[in-house]
Amino acid sequence: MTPDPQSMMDQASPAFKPLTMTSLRRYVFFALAAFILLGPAPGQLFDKRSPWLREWVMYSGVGVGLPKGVFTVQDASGPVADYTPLQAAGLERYPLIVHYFFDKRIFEDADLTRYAADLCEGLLPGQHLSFDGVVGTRKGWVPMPVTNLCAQTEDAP
Amino acid sequence: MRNGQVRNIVHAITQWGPEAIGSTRAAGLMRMGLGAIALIRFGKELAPYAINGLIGLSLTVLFFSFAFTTILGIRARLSVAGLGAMIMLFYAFGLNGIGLVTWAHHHVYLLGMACLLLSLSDCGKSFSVDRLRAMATEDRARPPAEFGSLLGQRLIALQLSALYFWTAVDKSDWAFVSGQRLEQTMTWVHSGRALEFVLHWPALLALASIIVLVVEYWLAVAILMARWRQAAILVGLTMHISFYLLLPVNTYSITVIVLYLALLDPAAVHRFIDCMLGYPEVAR
Repeated sequence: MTPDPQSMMDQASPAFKPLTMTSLRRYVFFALAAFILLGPAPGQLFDKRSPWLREWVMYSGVGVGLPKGVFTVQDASGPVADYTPLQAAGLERYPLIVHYFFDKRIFEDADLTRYAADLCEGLLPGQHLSFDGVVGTRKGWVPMPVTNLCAQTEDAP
Repeated sequence: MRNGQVRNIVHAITQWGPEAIGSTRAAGLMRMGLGAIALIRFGKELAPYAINGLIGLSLTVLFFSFAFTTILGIRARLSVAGLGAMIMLFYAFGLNGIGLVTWAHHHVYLLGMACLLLSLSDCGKSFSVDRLRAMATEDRARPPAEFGSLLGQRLIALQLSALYFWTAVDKSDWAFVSGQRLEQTMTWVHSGRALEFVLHWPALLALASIIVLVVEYWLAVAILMARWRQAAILVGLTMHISFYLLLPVNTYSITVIVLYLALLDPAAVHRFIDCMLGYPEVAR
C-alpha cells in the first residue's frame, strides 16, 4: 500500500502546523506576562536601563536635593540669626510643581549658595552665612556642612 | 518535581490566564473608568486650545475620539487599544522630549499599558453601544450574553503584582526603611503646610516606611491568591487612598483603584450589579 504523500509531509514538517486561536492566546499571554513581570529586572537589579522596560521606582526622587538643617548668619561676635531651609530660600512652602522642576535643588556646595541666594544678598558687611545640616539623596540624608556660603562676603570689612 | 506536577501547574496557569472566561461586566466598568481617567489626565494638555500645528491637532482628534468611543463602548476593543496606543505614544514623546516631560511618568505608562491589556479582554460585551447594537440587530429571544475572554484582566492583575513587587524592591534599602526617603518626600510636599508636624516624628516615618514596604511585598503575592484577595484589596485600597490624600500622585491612585476590578471574581461583580439593579433573582 502506498502511503499518502500529504500525511507523510505533515508528519515530516510539524512546523507547518497551523496556529490555533488557543495556541496564539497562550503565546500572547506568556510573552506579555514575562515582559510585565521581568521587564523591570535589568534596570532595577543590574542597572541596565531602557525606557521601554519600565522600572517601578515612583516617588524615589521626590525630596532629593532638599536641605534639612539650620542656616546661620554670623558675624565676628558669633551667631546673629538662624533660618529654616524655607526661610533661607525665601519661600513659605515648596511650590506645587513636579519636584525636578524646582530649580533650587542641591547636588553640590555651589547649589547650596544658589538655594540661599536671597539670604546672601541681605547680609551686612562682616556677616557670613553657614549651613549645618544634611541634603536629601536617593541614599538618604547626606551631611553637607558649609561654613561660608556667600563667598563674596568673606573679605568684607 | 515530577513531570505530572509540572503539567498540573502549567494547566492551572493556563486555565487562570489565557483560557480564562467569565462575565465581562468588570471589564466593561474598567473600560469606562480608564477612558474617563485618560480624559482627565490629558484633556487639558491636548485640547485644541493647547495644541499647535496640524500634527498636534491630528493627535488631539485621535485621542479624544478613542477616549469617547472607549467610554461609550463603540467598537470597544479597538477603541481601548487605540487609546492605549495613543497614551504610549505620548509616553514615548515624553521620554524623547517631544511632548511634556511629565508624559514620561509611571502613571502615564500604567494607564497606557492597562488600556492595551484590557483590549485583550471582551470589554465591549457589557455597558457599551456595541451591546446595544447586538441587541438591536440580532434576532434573539434573550439579550446577548455578557460573557467572554478575561485574558486581558489576568494580565492587568499580573501588572499590578509586578508593580508592587518592583516598587518594594526599590524601597528595600536602609535609606527607605529608616524613614529618611519618606521624610524627604514629606519635606517637599508638606513643609510649611498643615501636616508639617509629621516631619517632627522621625520614628513614625520609619514605622510608616516599614509598613509600606511589608505591605507592598505582601500585596504582590496576595492579590493573586484567592484566599488573601479580599484582605489584599482592602489593604491596597486603604494604601492608595492614603497616597492620594498625602502625596501629589496625579492619576496613579485612581488608575490602580479602577484596575482592582481585574482582581475581583467576575461572577461576583456580575451578581453584585444584578442586585444593585434590582434583579436579585437573577443574581441568585
